[in-house]
This record gives sequence, structure tokens and C-alpha cells, in this order.
Amino acid sequence: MMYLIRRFILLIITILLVSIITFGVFQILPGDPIRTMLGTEADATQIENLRSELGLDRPLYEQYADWMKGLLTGDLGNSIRFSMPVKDLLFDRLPVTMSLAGLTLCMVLIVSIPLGMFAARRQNKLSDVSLSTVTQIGMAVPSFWLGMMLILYVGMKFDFFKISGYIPWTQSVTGALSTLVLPALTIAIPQIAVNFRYVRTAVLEQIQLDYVRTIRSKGMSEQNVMYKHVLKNSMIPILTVFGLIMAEVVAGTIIVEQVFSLPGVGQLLITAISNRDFPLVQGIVMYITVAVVAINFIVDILYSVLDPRIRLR
Amino acid sequence: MEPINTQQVLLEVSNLKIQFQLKNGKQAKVVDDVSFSIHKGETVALVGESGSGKSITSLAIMRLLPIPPGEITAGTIHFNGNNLLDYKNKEMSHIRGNDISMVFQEPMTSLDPVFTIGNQLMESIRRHRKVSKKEAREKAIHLLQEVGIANADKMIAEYPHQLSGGMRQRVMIAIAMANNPQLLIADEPTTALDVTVQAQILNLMMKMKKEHRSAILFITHDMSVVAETADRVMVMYAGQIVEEAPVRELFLNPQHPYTTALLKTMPSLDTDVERLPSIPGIVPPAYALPDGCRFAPRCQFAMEQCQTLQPEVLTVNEAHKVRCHLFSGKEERAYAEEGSLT
Ligand SMILES: Nc1ncnc2c1ncn2[C@@H]1O[C@H](COP(=O)(O)OP(=O)(O)OP(=O)(O)O)[C@@H](O)[C@H]1O
Ligand code: SF4
Ligand SMILES: [Mg+2]
Repeated sequence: MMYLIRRFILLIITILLVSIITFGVFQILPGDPIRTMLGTEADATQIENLRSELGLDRPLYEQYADWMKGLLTGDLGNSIRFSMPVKDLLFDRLPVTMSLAGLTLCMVLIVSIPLGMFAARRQNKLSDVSLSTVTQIGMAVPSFWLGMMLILYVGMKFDFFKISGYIPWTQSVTGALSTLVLPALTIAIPQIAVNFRYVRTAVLEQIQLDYVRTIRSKGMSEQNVMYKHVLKNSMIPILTVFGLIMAEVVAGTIIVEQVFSLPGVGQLLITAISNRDFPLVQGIVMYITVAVVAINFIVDILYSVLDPRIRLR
Repeated sequence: MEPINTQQVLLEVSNLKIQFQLKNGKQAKVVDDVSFSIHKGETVALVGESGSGKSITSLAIMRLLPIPPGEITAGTIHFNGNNLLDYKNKEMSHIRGNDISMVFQEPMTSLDPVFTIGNQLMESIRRHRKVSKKEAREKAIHLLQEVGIANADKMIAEYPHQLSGGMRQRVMIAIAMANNPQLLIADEPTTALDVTVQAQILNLMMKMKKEHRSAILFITHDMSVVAETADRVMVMYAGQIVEEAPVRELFLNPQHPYTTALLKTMPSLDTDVERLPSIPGIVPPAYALPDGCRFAPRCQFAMEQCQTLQPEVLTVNEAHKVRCHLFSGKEERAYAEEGSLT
């Protein structure tokens, strides 16, 4: 229990730090949201008026405290560019990005874990060596290129896939899949390659340990050895990289939403940055931070579920 | 319970040869031409210094050798008349943990850290017996009580890291005994434990053996343990069995210089335990064995022929065998004396 409480405090601190950093960075960055909004024709009084209307003329710490207060009540302020609550904009886009990230994650887990175990059991045989070579290539491929190749050679060839736009799950499941599978694949392929290698290494490390020999000496079946004992033990080191992979997936959505014109949070972020829409950027960055930190918290909980040695500490 | 026929051969290892392919390209003859048998219900000790091939021999019987780098190049291992080396992996898995089971040298690492004691004990029972979860649980609790674990019904939910080394070895023994094996291989089961716990575990093993009517292949390098427990002793050196005899015979009438040296390393009442004599020299590595007798570099009786000619296994009497040129010399002398009498 202490372990989880400590983790939770760490989580709060991380979120706080990130909020301060993003706040600070935006003060340093060149460009002025007011000028961007009003254009070059605007006169000084107009600019001053809008500035005080948006509260941007107050001292920094006051702006930050204000923003924090809003955050705690669930109010992320208003977007300058869209003149809408940031919260509404986010909630509009979130389902797209969450679906994309979720589908990607499923692909990564479903493919990389069995593949990694398979390769480990055939260590140094042809199938293992070829898998390692293929994944080496898979890791090096840049995702915008991969996305374009998938559009060209899969999206354009098969009518099923839509290569731009989004259809919500609530409207049609196959519709949603037709818009999400290719972008998800684009993010998933390099991550599958990375995770495959971690799984393979973790399994190889486990199968030479003493306890595996004991299980064999009990006459347990090969399935029991691999999919009960070795898999559960390997999941502990794999979980460590799982948090990193999730962060990569969340980051991956930003680029891939551009390539596939998906109206997700990533696309919103790009718009927000190019318009110097500070409240919107701050809101989105907070969303990404909370998502990544929450994932890591879940990983920590999973750790203590998987590994009885952690529970006592 | 019908009595077990101790005349009946349970395990027969014949001319077993095991090689390892080393990383530097060399071949290591780790087990070379090893033959022995174990009768039903018998306790046989296998003794020898570190690296002599004891664990590798026992792993070969369990068919748990790492292949590659290991390879069984010759020989047979008959168990109840069937050659285990002919079995497919799946067939062998029904023998392991059921008819033959094993307790390992390293109690601290031999259990799966992420499953409970009960889970690991019950899966072993349910693998070989058609019993319900509830019955398996009861059996598991009973076994844990049998190996002297108090409040077994609580212990069943504990994880290995919550137990001491001695406790873990008790659990290992419970697992090994779960299905009343005909043969238990105990590979230095007490070496890694505190001296105070060693005797307890040893007594426990002997008690379990008696109650479950199993034969034991007991691997150790401790001669005093041998004296206390074994019916018969096999002495192993550099991959070969160099002497084999009933325990009394071996202690009273050792023939091989290595056996004699081993017996001298035994603590007795009047020697200082701190200053036990050890055998001078080291075991030759398995990839660079001497041409002649493998013990020759360390043997104080080594003769000329010992450097070039490998001694064969010779019969001292029906139950006593030795692999040494000294004995063939004695044999000739005995013949000569017989001849002069007539
Ligand atoms: N995986 C392996 N690869 C190469 N050589 C090995 C391997 N395993 C064992 N050996 C060699 O086989 C020989 C016999 O090893 P074994 O473990 O059977 O000795 P032992 O008699 O059980 O010794 P100990 O008393 O230390 O347990 C040793 O020389 C060892 O170096
Ligand atoms: S054969 Fe020769 S060297 Fe080997 S143990 Fe006997 S006497 Fe010693
Ligand atoms: Mg050993």
C-alpha cells in the first residue's frame, strides 16, 4: 500500500512540474497570440483591450494560479483561436485519439508477445533470426513514410479502408475500423518491433532460470511452462518498457493524425501551436501529461499485482 | 501395502556418455562410460568432488539436460525395463514428477517466485492425478504437514520469498514426493543450507523415502552423510564411476586411491573440523582429460601404465567394483598365489 501511495504522490508532482514548464516555455517562445488573432492592421488600443479581456496583462504567477484553480474545477479556460472552452474542444477530439491509441496498443500486445515468445523458443534458428532481422528494419522505419506507404499500397487498393477522416464507433463499428486500422498500424509497426525484442530477451532470460527446470522436473506440459510460468515472470521486465511504449504511442498519434487527417487531439495541438493559442496548448499538454502519467500509475499497480515481492516492500 | 521387491532393478544406466560442446569449440567429455543400477526402495549415494559430473548424470536420467550444448552420445537409461532415451518429450513428461522426481541443490531459486507454494504443489498433483481442486488442496496441505511445516493451511497461500531456505527445501521435497515417485533424485539437497538445518532436512528425506517407499539416488560430496544414509555408494571422478560398493564394504575396504583420499576428508571425533584435510590438486577439466587414468596426476600410487592406459572396471566381489590398475595388480598376485598353492 505504501508503495502505491508513494507512486501517487510522485504522479501529482510530475503533473505539477509539467504544468509549470509548459507555462514557462510559452512565455519564452516568439510570437504573440493577440497579434496573430487581430492581424497586422490592428492598432495599439485594440491590442491592449483584447489583452486585458483575456487576462494576459496580469502578472505571470497570477495567470498561473488562476489557471491551476480552473484546472482543479475542471475548467481549462477558453481557446483564443476558437473562442470556445478548451474542455469542450478536447472532449470533442478525445474519442478519436483514444480509439486510435487503444487500437494501436491492442495491436502491439497481440502481435509482439506471442511473436517474442515464439522467437525465444527457437533461439538462433532460422525463424528467430529472420524475425530479428525484420524487426530491426521495422524499428528504423519513420512513421510518416510508413503511413504514406500504407495509404498508397493498402488504403488505395482496398475499398474497405478510408484514408482520411473519422467515423465514430457509435455510428458504425466497421466504419470506425475502416478509418482507424491503417493509422493504428502506422504507429504499431515500429512499436511491435521494439516490444518484440523486449519480450524475446525477457523470455530468454527467464527460461534459463532454476525454477523453470523445477517445473519441467514436475512433468508439467510445455504450454504450462511457457504460458503460465515463463509468461507471468517475463511480464515483470516487459511492464517496465510498457510505460515507455505507451508514451511513444501517445506521441505517435500526433504525427499520424496529420498523415491520415484524423480530427484528434494531435491535430488540434498542431493548430493550437501555429496560432499561439496558449490556453489550448496548455490544456492539450496537460491532457497528454495526465494520460502518460496515469498509464505509468496503472503500470505500477500492475507490477504489484504481478510480483508478490513488491507488495511487501 | 504389498512389500516392495528390493531385488528388482528399478533404474539401469548403461555405458552412458555425455558430451558438451564448449563455446571455444572444444568437446568436453563430462560423463564417460557410466554404468550403474538402482534397485527398488534402495538408497544409493553418488559422491565426488565438484565438477565430476554428478548433476549432469542425474539431469540425463530426468531428460532435463540442456541439449544443445549437451549431447548424449552413447548409452541407455532403462527405467522399469524401458529406455527413457527412447521416449518422446511428451511421454517423458508423464514420468517426471510422477515416477521419478528430483530435489535440487538451490532451494532459494528453485521455486517460481510469482506463484504461491500451494499453486505450485497443486499443479504438480493435478498434472498426474485426476483429482478436483479441493482434493488437490487437501493433499497439498497434508504433504506440507508431512514435511514438517506448521500451519500448512496458511503456508499454502505464501510466496517463496516469504520462506527461509530450509522451508523452501521442505516445500521442494513435498513437491517431489507428491505423487509417490519410485525414484527420488536428491542433488545435494542440503549443501546450500545452514548447518543446523542440514540434519533436519536429511532426516526428513529419509523419513519421506521410507513412508513413500521410494528409491533414492542421493548426490553429495559429504562422506559422513553417505555413512548415515546410503545402502550403496558410487564414487565419481572426472566423469567416470571409479568405485562402487555397499556402504560398509566401501568404508572398511576401499580399493581406489581416490576413495581412500575422500574418506580421509571425513571429520571424525578426534579431528579438528576447521582443519579437514583436502585432496591435493584439482579435478582435470572435462575438455583436457589425461590419456591414462584420470586420477593419475593426483594419485600417490600412480605407476607407469597409469599415465598411458585407462583402467577398466574390475570386479572386487559381486557387489564391489573398481576402476584402478592397482587392483588388477592385486588380482594377478592373487592368481599367482592361488597357482603356487596347487
Ligand atoms: N552447460 C554446460 N556447458 C558446458 N559444460 C558444462 C555445462 N554444464 C556442466 N558442464 C560441465 O560438466 C561437468 C560436470 O558438471 P556437474 O554439474 O555434473 O558437476 P557436479 O558433479 O554436479 O558438481 P557439483 O558438486 O559442483 O554440483 C563440469 O566440468 C562442468 O563444467
Ligand atoms: S589407476 Fe593408477 S593412477 Fe589411477 S587411481 Fe589407480 S593407481 Fe592411481
Ligand atoms: Mg551438481
